Amino acid sequence: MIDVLTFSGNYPFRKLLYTKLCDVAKLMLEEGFEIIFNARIESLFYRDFMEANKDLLKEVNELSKQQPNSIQIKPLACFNPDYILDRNIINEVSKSFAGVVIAPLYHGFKLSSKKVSRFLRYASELNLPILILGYLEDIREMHRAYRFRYPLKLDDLKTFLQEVKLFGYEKIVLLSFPYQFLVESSNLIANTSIYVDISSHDIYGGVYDHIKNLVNIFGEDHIVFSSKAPLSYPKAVLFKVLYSDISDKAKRKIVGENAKKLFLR
Amino acid sequence: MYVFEKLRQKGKGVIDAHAHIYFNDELNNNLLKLANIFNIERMYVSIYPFDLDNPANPSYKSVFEGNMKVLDLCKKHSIFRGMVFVNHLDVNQVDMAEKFLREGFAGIGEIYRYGKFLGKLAEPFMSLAKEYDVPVLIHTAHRLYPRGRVGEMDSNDIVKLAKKWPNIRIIMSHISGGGDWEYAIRVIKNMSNVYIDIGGSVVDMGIIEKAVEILKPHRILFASDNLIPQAIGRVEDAKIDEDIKELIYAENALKVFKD
Repeated sequence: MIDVLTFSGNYPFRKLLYTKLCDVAKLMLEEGFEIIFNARIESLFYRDFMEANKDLLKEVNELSKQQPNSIQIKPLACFNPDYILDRNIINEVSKSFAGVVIAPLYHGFKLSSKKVSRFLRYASELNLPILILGYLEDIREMHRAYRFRYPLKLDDLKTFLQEVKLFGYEKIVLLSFPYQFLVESSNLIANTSIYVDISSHDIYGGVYDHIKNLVNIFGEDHIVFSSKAPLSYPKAVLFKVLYSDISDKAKRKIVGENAKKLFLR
Repeated sequence: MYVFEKLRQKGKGVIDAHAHIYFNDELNNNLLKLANIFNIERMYVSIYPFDLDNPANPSYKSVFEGNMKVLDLCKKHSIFRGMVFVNHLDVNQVDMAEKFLREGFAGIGEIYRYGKFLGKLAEPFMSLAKEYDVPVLIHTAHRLYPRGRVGEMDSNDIVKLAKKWPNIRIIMSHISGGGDWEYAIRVIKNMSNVYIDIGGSVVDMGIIEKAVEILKPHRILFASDNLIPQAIGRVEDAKIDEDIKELIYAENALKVFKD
């Protein structure tokens, strides 16, 4: 199984049970994952996000030397295109990281901004996967410092998706976006190569089976799995997929095969 | 092997302290199917509040029909145990609650967000709970920012109610239902007659561990609020001893419901 977004580091608003990359890796190995993509939480909050990205890279390298045959950890860089938009830095990132996370809510910018368009162009030239992060946690528990400053807006997402469609670069994942945002943007996402994930708290499993609905809307080839561990319990997210009323083939794609295609460069 | 599966091997099942029945039987059948998959042997169910005629103040007729639907399904499926749903703004529903408790319903609730369930609004229903020695399940928001919704109970309200009615077993619902669960758990710490259910959509890692640490295991009840895979996943992933998981999955509920 592949988890396309886990975290390491400290979260400013809640003490996490696991903060070190080695502990997160051990947890995910026990959960049955072979590959995890990992980003540093601090990179969503530092002004100079590259400092946190470098810390992650150092830790990944040390860990792979210590445990060469263990779970594969693929580092993700968080990038704030509104703060600095330097082609050289993106170039540097593309050499060491498997993809880039941008987080409009936490870095405080609009997806529809011109800087994001330029960032998209630079990333596309390097064939760099872009993970767009919605909410780290449920909106009802978000700290007021973030909840009201740069709320995610459906119109902003739609404008961005229209731009993406025109531009034609679709190595993009919408991560942890509310269910309703995905459904209401479906005409802009369906029939593209854009991926969506299922980690949002309001993507329900079980009786409501939103996973089945998402498969019907976007197709089983365009959904990936992320848990956001250690912010979330991995099994609580995983069980939504495993016990969904979709085929075993679709489940295999969601928890692994699709991510391989997405990150192939 | 997951703990819920180990329970099956021991001839035991999971008990869901907070779930809902729908007027739509297709959804009820989905619920039964999932209960079977996850070895849930008993579910305390009330009508789904959004199925009623007025989300803010449902009529007597609609609430009665909801309770009748629950009663009907309890007769058909032994897994279901009824919880009598009431609109506590309507004092006439005290008699309705009593009728269903006499029919064998196991508790009162989910008391929904039609108004703070305190003072005179709560009194007749809490008296009834005392008379029939049943628990009361109360919908609770866990400190929302910037402020709670009007008429919705929060953890501080639960403390007020628990102090007024120290002999009634109160279940503060869905600690994973959104909001500041760390705060809510701490607020009710000293109220020994308050239990929490772990239902809801939030899957923050650490909820169960924190609840076990602060409240001690016996005050924590397994519940899905119909989101069964997430609820089971939460317990299975929690870094707590297996015997504590068994308490949460089943034994604690048996004591609270005396069933």
